[in-house]
Amino acid sequence: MPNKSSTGIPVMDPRGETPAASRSMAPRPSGLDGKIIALVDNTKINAGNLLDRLSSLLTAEVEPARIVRYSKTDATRPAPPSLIAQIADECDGAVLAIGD
Amino acid sequence: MWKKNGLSSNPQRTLDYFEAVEFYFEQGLTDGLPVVPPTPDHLAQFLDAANLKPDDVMGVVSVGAIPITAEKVALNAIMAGCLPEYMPVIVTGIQAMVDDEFSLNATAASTSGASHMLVVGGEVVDDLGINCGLNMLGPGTRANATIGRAIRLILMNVCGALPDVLDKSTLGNPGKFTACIAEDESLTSWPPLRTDYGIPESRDAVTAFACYAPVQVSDHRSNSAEEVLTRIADAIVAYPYYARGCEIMVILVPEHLNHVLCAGWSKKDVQQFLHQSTQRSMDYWRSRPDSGKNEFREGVGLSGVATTPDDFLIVPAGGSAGGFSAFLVSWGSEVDYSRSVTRPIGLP
Repeated sequence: MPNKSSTGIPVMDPRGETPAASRSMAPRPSGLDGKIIALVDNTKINAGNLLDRLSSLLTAEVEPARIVRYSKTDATRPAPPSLIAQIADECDGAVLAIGD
Repeated sequence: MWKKNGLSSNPQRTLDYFEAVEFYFEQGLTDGLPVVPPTPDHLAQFLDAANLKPDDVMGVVSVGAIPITAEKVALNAIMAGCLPEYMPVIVTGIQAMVDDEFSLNATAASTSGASHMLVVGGEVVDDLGINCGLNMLGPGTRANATIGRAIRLILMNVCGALPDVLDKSTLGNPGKFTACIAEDESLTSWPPLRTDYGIPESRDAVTAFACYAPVQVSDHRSNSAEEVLTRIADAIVAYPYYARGCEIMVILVPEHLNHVLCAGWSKKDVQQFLHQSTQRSMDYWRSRPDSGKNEFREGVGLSGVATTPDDFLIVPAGGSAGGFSAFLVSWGSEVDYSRSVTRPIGLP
């Protein structure tokens, strides 16, 4: 039986720091009319199909200034910071598709 | 009572031993088995053993930018039942797994349910008593059991790969509790696994390999290198791949290895033979429903399960009796693969 010290066993937290959890979402645009919208393909199978459909719906239902398509280099690794910066620079909003 | 971030060096609450064990269950911080409740004294010992400070960052998970600090590695290692001297192996395993080639987030989250195996090589294997013989994939050895378990607890508690949260394994596999093995370098004069990654034989090293459950290949009749390796190759072809083009680890046991060594074959010869013997026609692969990666559904001629002979990772190990070798298939999907990564022990 393990020793039970008079002061007991302290509780310690093995969990990690998660800076991602404390990030907030970017401000939502008030509308999509006149905006440049990025559609970002994460390269998973069918992501392109999902974005094709979304592109059609966006064009039919709102009047974005432009829809621009981007693609990650692979599905499972993060987008390169340069791509994220480029999208942020060129567009007013972005949609990332995760197909399967 | 528990702050979201930071903490623990100055714990406010104390419990008796059994309350503490239950507390970690209640907080969802275990793999389903009891953990050793860590204490500040333990933590100091584990950090000292690897000459680390609590805030030293062992690696950063690129998806989510999650830092893995020495303190959190040590706490989870303690909880897993490790000894302090196991810390350098665990830290090196983490350093290997955060390499983008390994694709840690995908392998931890994937529905296909990979385990995260460490293969340890060098003098450290004997120093720590890591089992590379009888029952090397089974229970009974503290170093194997607890080092692998520490990796899993770190993935869950630090990296967020909690079952049903980030880890969406359809079935999972028992190797997700623990998976740490070693080469038996005394069995051959072949250059050990780490040298395939450019690490000198004189250095201790850890290979991280994201893989599915081992498949045992029984062969008690073959009497030549060609026969026994053909048997293994046929089993490798028969495996229901989600994505061919992956890496295949082959654990060659002494009984099978003996045929290969008697024939004077080198490790390269084995890799070449397995690569050649796992080639099949594209018509054959197209006839199977399992190979998901689209590019492998197209083309003509022959195609294999691995792209090059080097993608067969050869690990001599196992008990001296019994014709039961095994192979393990690395994680891969329609869109990507995890590549094994090897790091020498003792680098900052």
